Amino acid sequence: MKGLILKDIYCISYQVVLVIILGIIMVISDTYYTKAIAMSMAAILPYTALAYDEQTKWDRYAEMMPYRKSSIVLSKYILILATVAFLMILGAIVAAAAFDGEAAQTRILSLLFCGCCTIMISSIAIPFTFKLGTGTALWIYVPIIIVMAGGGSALMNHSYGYIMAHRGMLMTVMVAVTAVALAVSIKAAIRYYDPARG
Amino acid sequence: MTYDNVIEMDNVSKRLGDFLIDDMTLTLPKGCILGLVGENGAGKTSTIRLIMNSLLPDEGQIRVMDMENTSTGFTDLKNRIGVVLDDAYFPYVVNAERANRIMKSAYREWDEKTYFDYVEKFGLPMKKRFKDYSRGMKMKLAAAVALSHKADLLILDEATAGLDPVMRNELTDMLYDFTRDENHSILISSHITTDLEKLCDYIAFIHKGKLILCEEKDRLLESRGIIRCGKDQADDIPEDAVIGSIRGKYGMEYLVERDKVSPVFQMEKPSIEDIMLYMVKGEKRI
Repeated sequence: MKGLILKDIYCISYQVVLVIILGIIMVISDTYYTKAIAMSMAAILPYTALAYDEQTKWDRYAEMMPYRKSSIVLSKYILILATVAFLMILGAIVAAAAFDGEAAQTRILSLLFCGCCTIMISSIAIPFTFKLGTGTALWIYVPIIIVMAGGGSALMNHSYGYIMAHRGMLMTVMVAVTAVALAVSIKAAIRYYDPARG
Repeated sequence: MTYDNVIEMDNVSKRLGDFLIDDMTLTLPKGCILGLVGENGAGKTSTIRLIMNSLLPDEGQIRVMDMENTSTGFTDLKNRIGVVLDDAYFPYVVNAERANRIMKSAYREWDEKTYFDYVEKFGLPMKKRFKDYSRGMKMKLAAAVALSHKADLLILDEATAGLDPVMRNELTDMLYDFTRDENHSILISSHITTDLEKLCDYIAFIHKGKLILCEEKDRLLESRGIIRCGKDQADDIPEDAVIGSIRGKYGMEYLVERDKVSPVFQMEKPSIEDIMLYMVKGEKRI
């Protein structure tokens, strides 16, 4: 799988750098707008990697290599998980260094919320991308990103007090739901990534 | 693990939409080169994909190096199979150096030194991106990769199509070198029959998803003959000796089985291309 991830990083290196830059801006500025942008760009990384694979018909070659179908699928998920983890760690370090107590905690929770949303977007969209191809899957990615990014911002605006009062419980639920969605998504994507076997 | 046959296909059938791979039985003995010949759309690539377990057969079974290709160990066995397809489907941003790093992580027995020796031998630039490669360079890179992980079996799917004669000759030489080791075998599919005639020990002819013949190449060419004659003489050719006939420039042409025809007839040795033509285009009798 290392080779597959390396191949994807070579293909989308510019996008990865852009996501890191946006992540740093997101942490420093701490606005919902920058969070939504960074989240959307990170969520679309697996899609971009799959688009490159489609463009070069890499799958035709990969199916001759000693890779299991599950490895090919998982490499896309590892891409998004690694990106989210990196941004969250970076953000947590910056938040802990730059802010005290409540402010730092709020920012870290906010990062965790964004990370979960990013993973949720990918979890919903990646299986469709394997099934339908990147051209059609874009019609799924865009609405999901709008709903998650826009909805998340609207939720924070309207229910900020409630969310902050119950942040521990809400974040636990959010992380659990994200983990379940991820597991289901991986299973579905592995199933869908076998179209030629008939 | 000892085995006599590198590839064994037993009564394999697979429906792909309107197309059917029909009851195919094929064997590649160890240490030999099998040429898979057929016109475009005959089923050569589908056969290779069935062998590599990219397609699941509807019926029959396939064994590669004495292992069923649907078993869980087959993915690991692919470490010993080098593949060159009709195009090298590497990402555009990859260069020879990056390809090494990717393949090093993919193949357990990746031999970096051998790879870079091939890259140097083929004159491939180290930093040039794959998207800027010519067709010949792409095939050279694909061949370098296929030959650099201690493969026992090489599978080439239309790898020589679109290459100039010089490049095709280079590739052929490389394949000869590969088979110097008696444990190495090659399955090569092509519709360029002249390449197969030079290289192969066995020829398998596929037409519309059916395996028409699979024979030792020398025996195939020695046992058939082409008779060019007029209608009168044609009547003396036994019906059951005729494999196919076509109307030629100066009269009738018959592809026949030599041992069923009187030696009185002057027969020319056919090429693989001739045999393919007569079998596909020819009628039994005109």
